[in-house]
Formats: sequence, structure tokens, C-alpha cells
Amino acid sequence: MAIIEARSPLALESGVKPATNRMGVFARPTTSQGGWKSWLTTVDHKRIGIMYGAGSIFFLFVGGAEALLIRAQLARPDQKLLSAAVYNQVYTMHGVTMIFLVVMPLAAAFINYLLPLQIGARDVAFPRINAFSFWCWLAGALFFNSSWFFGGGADGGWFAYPPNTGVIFSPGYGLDFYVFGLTITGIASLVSAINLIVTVINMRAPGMSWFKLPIFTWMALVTQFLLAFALPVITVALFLLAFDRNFGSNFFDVAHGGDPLLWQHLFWIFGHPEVYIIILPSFGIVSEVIPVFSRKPLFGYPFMVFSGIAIGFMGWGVWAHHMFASGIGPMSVTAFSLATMFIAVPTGVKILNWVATLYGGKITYSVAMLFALGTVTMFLIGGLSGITHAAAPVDYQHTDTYHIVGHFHYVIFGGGLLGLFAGAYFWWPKAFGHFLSETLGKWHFGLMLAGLNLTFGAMHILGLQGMSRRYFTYSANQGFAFWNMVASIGAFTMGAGALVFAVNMWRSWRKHRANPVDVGPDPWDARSLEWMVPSPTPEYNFAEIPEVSELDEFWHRKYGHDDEHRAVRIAKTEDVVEKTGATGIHLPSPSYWPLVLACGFPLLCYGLMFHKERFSGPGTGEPIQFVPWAIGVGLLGVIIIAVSLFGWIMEPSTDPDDGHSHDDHGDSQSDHAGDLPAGEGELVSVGGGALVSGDGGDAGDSATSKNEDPA
Amino acid sequence: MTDVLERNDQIAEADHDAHDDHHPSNATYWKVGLFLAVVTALEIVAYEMIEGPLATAALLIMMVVKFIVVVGMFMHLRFDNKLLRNLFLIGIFLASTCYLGAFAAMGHFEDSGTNVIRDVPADQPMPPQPTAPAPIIKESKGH
Amino acid sequence: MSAATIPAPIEDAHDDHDAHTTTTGISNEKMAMWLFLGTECLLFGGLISTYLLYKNKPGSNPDLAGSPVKPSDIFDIPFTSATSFVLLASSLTMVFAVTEAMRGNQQKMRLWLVATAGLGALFLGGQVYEFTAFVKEGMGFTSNVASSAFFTLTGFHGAHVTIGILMLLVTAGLSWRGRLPASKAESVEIVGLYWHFVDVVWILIFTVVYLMK
Repeated sequence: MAIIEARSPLALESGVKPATNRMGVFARPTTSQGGWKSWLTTVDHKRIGIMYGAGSIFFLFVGGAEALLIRAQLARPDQKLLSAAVYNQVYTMHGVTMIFLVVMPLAAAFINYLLPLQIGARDVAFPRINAFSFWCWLAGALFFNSSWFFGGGADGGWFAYPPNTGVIFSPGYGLDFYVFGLTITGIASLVSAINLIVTVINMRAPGMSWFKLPIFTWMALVTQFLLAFALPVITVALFLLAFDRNFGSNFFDVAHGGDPLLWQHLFWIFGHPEVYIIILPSFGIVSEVIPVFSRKPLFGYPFMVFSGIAIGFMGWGVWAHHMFASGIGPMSVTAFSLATMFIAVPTGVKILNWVATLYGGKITYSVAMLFALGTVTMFLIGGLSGITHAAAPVDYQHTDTYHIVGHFHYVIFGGGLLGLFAGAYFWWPKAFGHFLSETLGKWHFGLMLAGLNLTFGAMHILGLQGMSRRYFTYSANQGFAFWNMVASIGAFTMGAGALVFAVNMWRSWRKHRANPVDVGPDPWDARSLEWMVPSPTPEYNFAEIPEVSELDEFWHRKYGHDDEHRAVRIAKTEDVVEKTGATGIHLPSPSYWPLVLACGFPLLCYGLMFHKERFSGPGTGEPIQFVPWAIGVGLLGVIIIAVSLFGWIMEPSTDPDDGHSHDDHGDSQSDHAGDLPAGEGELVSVGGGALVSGDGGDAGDSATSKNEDPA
Repeated sequence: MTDVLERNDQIAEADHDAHDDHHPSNATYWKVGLFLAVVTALEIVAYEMIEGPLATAALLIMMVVKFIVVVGMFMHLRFDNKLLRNLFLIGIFLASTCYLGAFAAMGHFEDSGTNVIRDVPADQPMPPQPTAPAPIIKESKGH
Repeated sequence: MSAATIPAPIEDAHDDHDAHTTTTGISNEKMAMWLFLGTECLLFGGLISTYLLYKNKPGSNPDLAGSPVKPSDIFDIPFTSATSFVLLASSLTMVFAVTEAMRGNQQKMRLWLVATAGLGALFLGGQVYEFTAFVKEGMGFTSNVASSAFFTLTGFHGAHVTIGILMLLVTAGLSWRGRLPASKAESVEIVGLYWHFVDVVWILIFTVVYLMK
């Protein structure tokens, strides 16, 4: 491998201490600071993953409350709990929240936490950018939800079709929060995708060739490619709509020659890869969980990899199946209908491989396994109804009915979210050092499975009965009452399941605090590298970057084969896993610039939204009326962005003065001056150059081997 | 693709050295710049002097040539690891196919080129189209 | 801290220490930039497509609201050709900046960087002049769908040029303050990649928007 020289953005001149620069009050933090502030400035991928997880679970309850409001309203005919206008807001916010603020960031939580561990790295390629992605996402999420306080949420559906979402038919600000909020979260995801792709391509442990990559990492990688290339398309659409709403353009106004279908094409060219972005991480989790709890390797690993890539690739060719009824003409409809049928094939391959993995295995029905099995079966149901939609003539009957709502909830909730819950139960001990309760977990699973089938199964029937979607109520004489009641009961059942999950998280944590038990590195007797390190994962991940010689490397260090190809123990787990308490490992330094930079974006967007009175200015026939406070806020946002970028560039990726500077190197006595005693679990971040991904390059530096303390 | 990736890992070291050897000289860069200027001038000539589909074809070809030359030579992609080219190509491929597909689906390549759904044969007059409602200007000023 | 003497890079004493090996031998930053440029293809592709969709709409139907003046009716091709040459020249100066950076000649590198930024600014000035002329001739952002699409596309491109100019000046500034040692020469190349891409997008725009009928 070629040696690439250090990439610290800037090396400070020898002798300059960053803590005493002109901005001395805002000295750079060091990791020796504990407490909540260290979370604000962390660049550790594990902490960032945990924060994504916490944020998404919070929004799960927000989106869930919105769902329960919908179901309460629709439980009976002619109800007036929610007016039509409010109903539109609730179901729009529910959709956007669940997709962008729950499922995607929850997947990101797992990907951020696990990717470096699974490939044997210490962190991602660009740790500060990783932190920025999280804070930017959070800023966008909060900005989007602040719409409730500014006159109401977005109300055009999550797909926001103009001209309905233009400023004539939607003069409120909710949709501006939609447009700008999604742009902000889009920046977060795009930047994160680039970060993670570079990480997987460029920072794998020695010996980890492509077909030894863990399957979850593969699915996560395909997801990042989809994100990176799909987000710019919706960005274009969002900007065009923003300009129509705020700056007087007419991109989607038919009277001016605009074409509403332009929005639909742009949105769905993003929107279809988006649904694969939603499901692929869950497929990856299932592919990790099923082998562990069947005590068999994943059947057909190469097929699983290729089918994941195929899904990612083919996902770009089917977008107009969301537009069969929009008048695109029979040629286009036929083409997209055929393509949509073909894309079922790789998914079918995956399902068959999961079944083949289970076959002949020694199955343990842990909660993680239950959720994984639930994912496969629920996605299968959703996928089968999806196939019926692929036939365009049939879809003309299904479209805009509850049949579609039932379909996509089976795949997103039954497939996506259940898979993420499987991951939660599986990796919880690794991240937090204690288990989630299996008993409560079984209740969680049971309630959710029952609830989702009640609700979304009923919706298939409602669709066939002819109930339209996006309607705030229905009449008593339409015959929809019974299944709507069933669906609403199911929804509250799912809500109960979610509460059980919350209780589980809380009680497990309390129980652990009262009576800590060491779960050990490998409580499930699992297969991949993250199970080789102590639980919870040490800050530095691996004391020594492992050399990888085969797929499921960790498993093969524990087990060999006898002549009949049965697994035979060749080493005790304690001999194969890493011990705690390595010291002197270089880590990237924390920074507050990612957080500060992220704060600039919502401020800028408030400015853009409110800078003038809505119906004044060019194109309206009225003189423009500016709103001073908004312009001030917007300018503040711009200043914050500019200053943060400048501060970020000026700061080295790893602080040379962070307890272990270059100057100290000559002098062995102070080499480990900054190190805390082993077993604390908390390492002082040591200075030095850019992140070290492989120990091979550090032969000349005594500080990287574990426990080699000269003192 | 994976075998390309595997090979990339193996030849990375060799590639790094190759990169240094293949650095074009300043003189080469001047020539490339001159070439680009000449092609641009030719494009303008084509614009002024040629009509119809021939002009379109000529302009597109020259545009693609300039694109490849700038990307290959100025951005050094010709001499770099193939992985970088592949990553960039993914973007180009997806952009071309998806946007061309959208154009086709929008009827952009058909004769009539309108975006109105016709439900009468082309030789008969269109029925009156609905006009957009008057904008609501003075009503909802509050936030 | 004088610009003439660049302190020995801190990494010198610890090159192994700071060296970080990548699996492919390509640096993380360079790979990230190429990936980013790949994603930008989708962004500019969408904007160009929008323009192509709308460019002939004005005047195509007497019932259409908005100005019947198409952008292509009022283009000043000689002027735009001149600004295109300017941007193309800036790509050439960028290449020389990178070459000098690779050779360690920071002084010359800074000159070429500033020249590139200057040419970019000249291009932007030309855009501003051109757009002001269009507005005076009655084609503003909101005049019709084609003008909106035109200004959105060229506006996004101009914003990218502006960001590029800032990156060039910051790089030159860092070098002047001695904060760009030889081991970091690649960052100049990476700024160069971004700049060339911005030029490449203009190659597309100039042909497809201005020259094609």
C-alpha cells in the first residue's frame, strides 16, 4: 500500500499553542473533559451514532403521536377531532418525520456506530464532518418541526406535489419549512454519505478485501451511494419549489407554461432510491442477526452482495411507477411497469437466502431474532402487494387508495423499522454494556407485530373497498367504518409496543446502574469484528487493528471445522477477544465547529423564508415589503456559517497540543504524560497527525501499541 | 467492479509512482489549453454558420471533446487510479439516463412537444383549457 | 511570520507517525472530492434539464402568461464567448498552480492561484454585466419559466464559482502565512479539481444553453 502523507488540514507552527490563540475564551476542547459538553464536541463515530439513535427515537414518538392522531380521527366516520386543514398537516408531518427523522437517522445510527468497527478502523475518514452531519440533521429536524409554532406544519403530503404546494394554494409557511428543512437534512445526509463511502473504500483493515466485508457494511455502502446520488435531485426540486413560493418564479405553474410533472419526476427520481435507502440497512441488519441466531453462516453471501448492488442499481430505473396515473403515456407506463417487476428479483434472492440460512440451523428465538424474522415476513407481505402495484392496469385501481398506504407501511414499518429494532436488541450490549430486557422485548415485538398487521392489513381491505387516501374523514354510509376501527385499534397497539420499548430502554439502564454486570465482548457468540472488542466499545475501538484473512473473521478465530464441516471450537472466546485498557492510541480531537456550523443553516433559512411579506415584491404587482428581524436572523446565519468554516479550516484535525504534542515526542518521559491509567475507559486524545487507520504505519512510534508504557 | 477494486488495491503502490512519472509538462498544458480554445472558437463558428441538426450534433461532439479533455488532462483523471474515474462516471451515467428518461416520459422527444394531455385527435381543435385562478393576494397576510 | 520563510513542517520529524495508509493508495480527501463532483453531476443535470424543458416555452402559445421573450432571443454570444474564454483560461492557470505546488514553489503557486481567482472574478463580473443587461432588456428572474430556469442554472453555477474563488484565495492566503507545507500540496490539487469541474459545467452550459438552438 502506498504511504500517503499526513492530511491534517493545517499544521501549526512549532510552539504555537491553540489554547492561547486570539480566541482564547473559545479554546479547543480536549477529551479529558467529561460530561454533557463532551457530547457537543465529540467527533467519535460511536457517540455520533448514539446521538442519531437518541434523536430518531425521540422523533419516533413525535411521528407516532401524529399517527395516533390520524387514527383517532379516522376510527369512526364523520369525526371532527381534526379539521381537514389540520389533518393535512398531521399526515404530512407524520410522513416526513417518520421517513427523514426516524427511519433514516436510526439506520444512520447503526451505520455510524458499526461501520468503522466492522471494517477494523478507528473512526471514519472525516470525523469532524461526521459530527457536522449529525448536528446539521438535528438542526434541520428541529427547524422542520418549528413549523408548528409558526402557523402550522407542512400540509401538502410528504411528496408535496405542486401546484397544490405552490404559494397560491398553500400560502402558509408550513411548506417553506418543508422545503428548507429537507434541504438542511439533505446536506447532512449527502456529506455523511461521501464520508462513509470513502471510509469503506479506503480504511479497511489489512486483509479485508471486498468479499470479506461484513454484509451489513455492504448494504450500508450501497445505501450511501444511493444517498449521495439521489439527494442532489431532490435538492433541485426543493430549490425550484422554494423559488416558486418565495421569489416569484413559476416553474410549476401551468398558466405560465410550467409543468407540475417536472416536480414529480425530480421528486421520484430521488424518491425511489430513497425507499431502498430506507430498507437496505435493515436488510443488512437481518443478514447479520439471522446467521448469529441460527449458528450458521449467511447462505449465499456473494448473492446477497450482488443482489444488494442490483437493488441499488435497478432502483434508479423504476421511479415513474409512482406516476402511473399522471398521464405519462402508455410507452412510459409499460417501460416502468416492466422494470418494477424485474426489481422484485434481487429482493426475492435475499429472502430465499435468509430462509436457506435458517434451514438446518440451531435457532435461538432471541428478541433480535424475532424482529429479524418479523422483518423478513412483513417485508414479504409488503413486497407481494407491491408486485400487484407493478402491473399498471391494476395500479390504476390501487393508486391513491389505502391499498397503497397498506403496502408501503408493511415495507417501511414492517420491513424497515422492525429490522432496526432487531439491530437495537442485537447491538445494545455492544454499545452500552448491558442487555435490553428480553421479556419486555418480546412484549414490544408482539404488540408491534399484532398492531401492524391489524392496521396495515386492514388498510389493504379498505383500499379494495375503495377508500381514498389523504381524506380527513369518510361518511357512515360508505362501509369503511369497520376496518378503520380495526386499523385504529392496531395503531394504538403499536403505540403500546413503542411505550414498552421506551420502558425497556429505561429499565434496562436503571437495572445496569444498580447492579452492573459485565456482558463481555461477545454475548451472542457472533461473527463479525465488532464483537471482538470490549463492551461497551472502547473509545479507540481496537487496541490493535486486526489482520483479516476471511469473511466472518472473528467467528473463524473461535471456530474451525471438523471433517464433516461442523463447527468445532478452536479457541476460547476470552483468548480471542481484546482486553480493555489500551493506552496511547491516537484519536482525532474534538471540535465545536461542526455544531456551530450546523446552527447557521436554520438561521439562514428563517431569513430566507420570512425576509419579505409573502405577497409583495417581483411578480405580485406590489412593492416589496421587507421584514427586518428576519433579514437580521438570516444575516446572522450567514455570518455563523462563514466564521465556522474559517474556524474549522484553521483548526488541525487533531490538536497537536492535546496532551501529547509533537514537541513532547523527543522526550520519552512526557510521551504518556496525557494518558489516564488503564481501565478508566476514557483516553486522553493524543495529538499527532491525522487519524491512523492502520498500525502498520506507526512502527516508528511507540505510543500506539497497547500497554507499552515506558513508565 | 469488485475485481477492478481488488486490482486497485494491489497496484496502488505502482500507481502512485506512475502518477509522478505521468505528470505532463507545462508545455503540454499550454498545448491542451490552446486546443481547448480552438475547439471553443470552432463551436462559435458552428453556431454562427451551421443550421439545424447538423449544428446540434457538431456542438454536442465538440462539447463532449472539451469535457473529456478538461477532465482527463487538467483534472488528471487519465493518469489517476481508475476508481476515481468510476466514481465520477456513476454520477454522469445516472444523470444522463435519469434525466433523458424523464424527458422521454414527459413527451419531450415527441412531435407535439406540448405538456397538455390531449384527448382529441391532433387534427381537431383543442377544447378550452382551464385557466389558473386569480392569485389570493390581500387575504392572508398574517403568519 | 514572514511569507518568505516557510517553517519546516512539523511532520518532518515524525513522518511515519503522521503517515496514514489508505487501502487503495488514493488519499481520502481526493476520493471524497471526486465523489462529490460525481454527485454534482446530478445537481447540474437537473438544472440543465429544467432549462431545456422550458427554454422554448415563452411565445410558444399566445395564452401563456409571462413575457414572450426567450433567453435565447437576447443572448449576446460574442460577449458570452469572451467570458467563456476567460473561464477556460482560469482552468489553465489553475493547472499551473497545481504544478508549482507539486514542485514546492509556493511563491509561483500563489501567483497562479491569484491569477485563477482573478480570472474567475472577471468571469463573474461578466456574468453580472450580462444579467444586468438582460434585466434592462426586460428579462428578469420572474419574467417567464425560461428566464427563471436560465437564471437558476447560471446562478447556481455562479455561486459555485464564487465558492471556488474563496477557496483559491484561502489556499493562497494559507500558503502566504506558511501554513501549507509541501506535504499538503495535494490540497491545492483538490481545490483544482473543484475549479476544473466548475469550468466543465460551464462548458456544458455554454454549449447547451447558449449555442444550441
